[in-house]
Amino acid sequence: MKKLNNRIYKDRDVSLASGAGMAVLKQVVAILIVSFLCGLTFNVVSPNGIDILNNPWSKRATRNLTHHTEYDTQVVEDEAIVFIGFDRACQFIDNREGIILDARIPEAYRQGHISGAHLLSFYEMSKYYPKLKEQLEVSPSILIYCGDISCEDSEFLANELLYMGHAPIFVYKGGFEEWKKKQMPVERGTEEGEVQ
Amino acid sequence: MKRLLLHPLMVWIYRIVVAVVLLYAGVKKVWMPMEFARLLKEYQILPNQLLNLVAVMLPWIEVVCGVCFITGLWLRGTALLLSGMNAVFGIAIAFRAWLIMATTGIGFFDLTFDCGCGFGVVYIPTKIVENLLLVAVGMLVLFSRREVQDTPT
Repeated sequence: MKKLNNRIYKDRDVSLASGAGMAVLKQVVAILIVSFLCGLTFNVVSPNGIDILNNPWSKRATRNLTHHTEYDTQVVEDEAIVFIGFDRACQFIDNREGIILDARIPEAYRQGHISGAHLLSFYEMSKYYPKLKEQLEVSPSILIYCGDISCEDSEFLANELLYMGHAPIFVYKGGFEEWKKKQMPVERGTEEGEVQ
Repeated sequence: MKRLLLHPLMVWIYRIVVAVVLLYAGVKKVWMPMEFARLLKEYQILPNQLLNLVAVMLPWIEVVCGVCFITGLWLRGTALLLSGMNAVFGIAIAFRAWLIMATTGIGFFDLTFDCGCGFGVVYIPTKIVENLLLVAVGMLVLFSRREVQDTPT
């Protein structure tokens, strides 16, 4: 009798556990569906909404993207794009070799950027490129940077500018984080270059 | 100890704290989907075609989970989702940390980057511990409810 009771309770526990498991999974699915609907709806009405199916990381922008490891000790040639480290970036800026471009989003640029850099956000190229087109055409070379060593926006922007016929292009891989860490001069300001 | 951790008042405190974190992080990302997509890209885990969709969806999952944690609606599902998402996110952070360490030679305990969590540049060892804690809180809420609901009467 005791064995039978144990068996009954055991079967009941298994049934309760599997029933509860299914209920939890149904809740998870419900949360995902609600989130999906909210996300899609908000994305349509939001001024910052994005195209769900297409993004700026087009095949063109990401082509030939390679990962380099020794920026400070070795200059890596990648067609007309040259990956450089901190020392070479300083040299570029000190010698005024060309225009400096910040590939990050406008908010990041406003919070701080390398002194003298112009904003050309990779994500809003159609907005910022026309403003800089003339300067880019006369500039003997271009230096591009973004956030930090893991950021790829500078490389994407370099690929886009190369495609548009601008060269040579230097990509400073350490980016703004390394620049700041080395206590080099930075500016805060608007995207038009007006320093605050 | 188990009783204290699973005490209804403690569980309620976990829920509120986690809900506030989820709502803050989610709402911040909801407003900047492209920036979030860019941060997701840096993990090199998702294919490019999925980045925008995930960048639109993920913040809303956080927001909905935050609301559910406060209201108590779909509580166990929320707890399971929270644990699952944070476990996956923790692995993704560790993977990205490993990539950066391998590329730059920076030590694990010197590692900082913007993990896309909605809190800007963060110290990575602390972030991984935070993620483990969130997984644990999710499990606590999940099993605290299970004990109440599944006890045979």
